Amino acid sequence: MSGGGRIWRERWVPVLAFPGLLVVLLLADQLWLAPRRATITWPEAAAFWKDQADRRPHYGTSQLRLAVAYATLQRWQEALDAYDRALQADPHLEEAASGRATALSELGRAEEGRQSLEDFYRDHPLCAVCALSLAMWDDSFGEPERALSRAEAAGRLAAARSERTLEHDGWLVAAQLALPRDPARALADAKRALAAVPGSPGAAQLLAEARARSGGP
Amino acid sequence: MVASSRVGAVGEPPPALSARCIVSPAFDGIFFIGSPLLAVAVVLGAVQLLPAWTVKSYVLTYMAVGHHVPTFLRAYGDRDEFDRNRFRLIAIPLLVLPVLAAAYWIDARIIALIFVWDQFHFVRQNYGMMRIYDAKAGARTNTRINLEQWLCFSAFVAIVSHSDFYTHVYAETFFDLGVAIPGWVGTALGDASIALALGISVLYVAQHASRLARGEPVSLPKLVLFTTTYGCWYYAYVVLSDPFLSYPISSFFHCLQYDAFAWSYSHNKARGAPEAERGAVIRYLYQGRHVWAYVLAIFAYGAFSMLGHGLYPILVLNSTTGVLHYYYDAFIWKVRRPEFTRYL
Repeated sequence: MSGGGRIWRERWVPVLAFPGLLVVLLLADQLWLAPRRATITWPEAAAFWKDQADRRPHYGTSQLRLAVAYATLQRWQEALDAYDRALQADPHLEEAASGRATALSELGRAEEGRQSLEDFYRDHPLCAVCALSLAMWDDSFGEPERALSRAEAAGRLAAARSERTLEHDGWLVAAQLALPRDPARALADAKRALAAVPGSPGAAQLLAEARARSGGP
Repeated sequence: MVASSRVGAVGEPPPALSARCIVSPAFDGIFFIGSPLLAVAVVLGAVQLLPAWTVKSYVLTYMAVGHHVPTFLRAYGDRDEFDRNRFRLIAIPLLVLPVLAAAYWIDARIIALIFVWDQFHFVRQNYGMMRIYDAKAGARTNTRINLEQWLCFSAFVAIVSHSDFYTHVYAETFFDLGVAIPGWVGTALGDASIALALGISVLYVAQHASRLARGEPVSLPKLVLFTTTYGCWYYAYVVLSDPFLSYPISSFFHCLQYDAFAWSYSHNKARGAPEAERGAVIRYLYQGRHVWAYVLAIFAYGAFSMLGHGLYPILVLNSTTGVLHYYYDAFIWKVRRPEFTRYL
């Protein structure tokens, strides 16, 4: 073998093989898998997770995925049953508690849903998603001050857990709630939302509105 | 870590227990052989005091991300190692970093499959340590089929395929990628893997019984290490099967073993290697009285990752050090090299 060929084989092939494999995987993801992902429908997702949940009846997270698929399809009774199974398997599944409350509300049992989430939040005071859900419930029940403090609590709790999307959502809802009554507070909350997810259009818009109303920097 | 075995002669007296250990009976007992049990105790103890997601995030940052540091200390801080692989160690990060940055930027979900490599390197580490113990005991391997490697991988696949936690993780990851693997595939894989693992276990036991009958050395620490490791994996993945705790238990002892092994090896090298083979990092960090700096370096990278958790640049950095850790480990710890006989 020529010197150039040997250098290529011994020096460059080991170096290029690994990044090259990563590039191939990346291309496979974008050219083959991404179009497949886009065509999966929610009924297909529900059927898939039904099969998976039946195989793992005692694994809460599988039941939760099934419940979310049913909820997206607005099959609320089936969603509620799946959320119940998820919580039975894992009583600490926060998304299941929050989703269950929504399903109850959609089935016309709003007060029961809110109370069940309040109970869960009392037992799990660090549950950011509970605080955020309850903030929206409080707002719809005409309790804006409580809603605002809970939305801010959601932002703080999510920040402590480094859950940036949830943190952003908490501060964003807080900013929306604060804007009509306390633009300076809305300004601070919108800044926090933007810090959690830099470039968020929702947070940027609220920040601009809060600045305009409060005259702050 | 992959070791070759020394050939032990029949009838030779077995080496003393301390010589059959990697460091010492107490050190090995805590950091290598007993670490799976320690991991179960620490993680299940911590969850009595802290929420499960807090325990998970502490282990995954301070331990799992932190244990990339010893890899980089060895690759770039050990002058001898760096000189041996200079081109690869400079070129590969420069190529991998932009690819991973692009992958995260375009939300290429295939990156999630890195966890498969993560599992592979858990098993490779366990297998490597078993081979080191065999070599220390002077055990020979003269079979064409490497039963030990087959045992390690088949037993791990059998455990994973019977774990609600991992079968869910696989189903979820592939589904989110766009591939809905039918449920019967997992069931069939579970049945096949348990049959394979049991078959190989029988052959492995027979092989070791025959070695004992011929008076050949068999490493007891190796067998105990296999038992504690796989017992712990079975407990964490199949019995406990908890989305927050199963992986941290496994990760905790994997990282503890790795950090301790890397330190003990480099400590020996720092003491024994000629000046030309040691870098300043090796000379300083791996002195006995500077062990705090080594631990601090590991935790500092973990803390840095914790602070920036979820931010794009930190995500890219952590993933890059993660895949480089897996990749570098395949050649920087090739313990069949003579260097390892000197310092191990």
